[in-house]
Amino acid sequence: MSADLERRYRRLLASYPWSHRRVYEEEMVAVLVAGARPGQRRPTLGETANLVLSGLRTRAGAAATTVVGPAWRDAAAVFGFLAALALLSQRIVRLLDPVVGYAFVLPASEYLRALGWAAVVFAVLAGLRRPAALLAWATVVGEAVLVARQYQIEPVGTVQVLFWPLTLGIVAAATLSVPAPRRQALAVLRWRRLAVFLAGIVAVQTIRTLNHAAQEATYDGGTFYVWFGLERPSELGLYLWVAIVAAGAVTAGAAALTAPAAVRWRILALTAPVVALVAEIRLTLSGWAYSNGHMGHPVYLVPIQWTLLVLVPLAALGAAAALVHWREQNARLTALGRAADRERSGD
Amino acid sequence: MTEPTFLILTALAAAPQHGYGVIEDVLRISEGRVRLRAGTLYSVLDRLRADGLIAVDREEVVQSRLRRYYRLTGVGAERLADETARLRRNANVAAARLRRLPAEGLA
Repeated sequence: MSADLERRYRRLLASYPWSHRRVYEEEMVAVLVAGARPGQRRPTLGETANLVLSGLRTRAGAAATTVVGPAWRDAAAVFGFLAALALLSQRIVRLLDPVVGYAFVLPASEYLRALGWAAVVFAVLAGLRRPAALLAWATVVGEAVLVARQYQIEPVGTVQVLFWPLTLGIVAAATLSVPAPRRQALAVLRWRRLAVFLAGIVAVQTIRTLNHAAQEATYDGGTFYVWFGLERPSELGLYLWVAIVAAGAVTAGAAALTAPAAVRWRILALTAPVVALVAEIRLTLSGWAYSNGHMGHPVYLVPIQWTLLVLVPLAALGAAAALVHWREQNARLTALGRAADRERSGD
Repeated sequence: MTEPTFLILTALAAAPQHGYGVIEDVLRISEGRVRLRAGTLYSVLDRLRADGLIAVDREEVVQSRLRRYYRLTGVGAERLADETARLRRNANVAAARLRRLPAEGLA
């Protein structure tokens, strides 16, 4: 009788997180069994509701503690800052377009966007976290309005080219909103990693600017080789540019990913929504893009496509965060197992 | 401070007690009005431990069941004393006003 009841109580205690069960499960089972009526075989409805609700509340509390824990906080601070730097570098390339002859006159909004991300970067450097977050949100909202306008005119180009920077901006603004000590991003990154990241970004964006200048020059004809928007009159020249862009991206990535392991995996998890969005657009919206080019009028996305464009990046973030926690829990359990083995072999 | 928290601290103010002992003592203190359930009890105990208001006194195994005894810490006693004073002040004000209330107001 008691064994059955105990088993059922233990099953209900599964609603608690592992960390709570480790400390209190045996004790709680003892209290529950002691409080049971003679002959009781099952937990009462009241006991069931109380244990399940308390367990879920404890789980929610544990999850919140984990999310605002130091590792996620540090990763958020670093990611927000680096994403703002990357977005600023994109804006600078755009501002240089008239200088290299790639564009005539830029609208005022382009200057405002660049100013927005520059202000975010300066606010982070100055240790003003809240103003940085507010500026990031203001810039992102402004960019969203521009993207929405552009979508009305040219849906395919907007979805393929403008959606991912907008998503990166949203993640940057969200991560900068996570409470953290002053200049936490710099404390985690240190100046050396920041310099390496900047060197990588500058290499990539220099090639993009040179590419825009060269594109302008090659419009008068001749053969040129193209790969993902990079254009060179010779195959060797294209390889060289691709190599520099790849080296720059790897350098920038390496600077971020040489952060302490717990922060590194979380930074990777925070990139998941942007990577998922790019993959989703490439893999699932290519048919829509193709038909757009042959219809003679713009074909807009339907509600299910919009829903998936929101849900897939969110699911990717959730899955990546769960993977990080699963990995760390495994590492913890392995370390505990090793310690227990050592203790046994020492006896 | 919620009523279960106040009653649990009050129970532990007498002597270190294990979980089931706390449930029974709280029932006695509240004259049968508050019967704590295990989920509620351990949510409060966990929070009080984290805040340093109670601590584990000792552990025993009785009939192959774990019994962990909790005791009130100095900080816990201080918080309980503050809360008691606050409740007493409120109760005194309520009692004084009720005394001044006309007889028909109580009807």
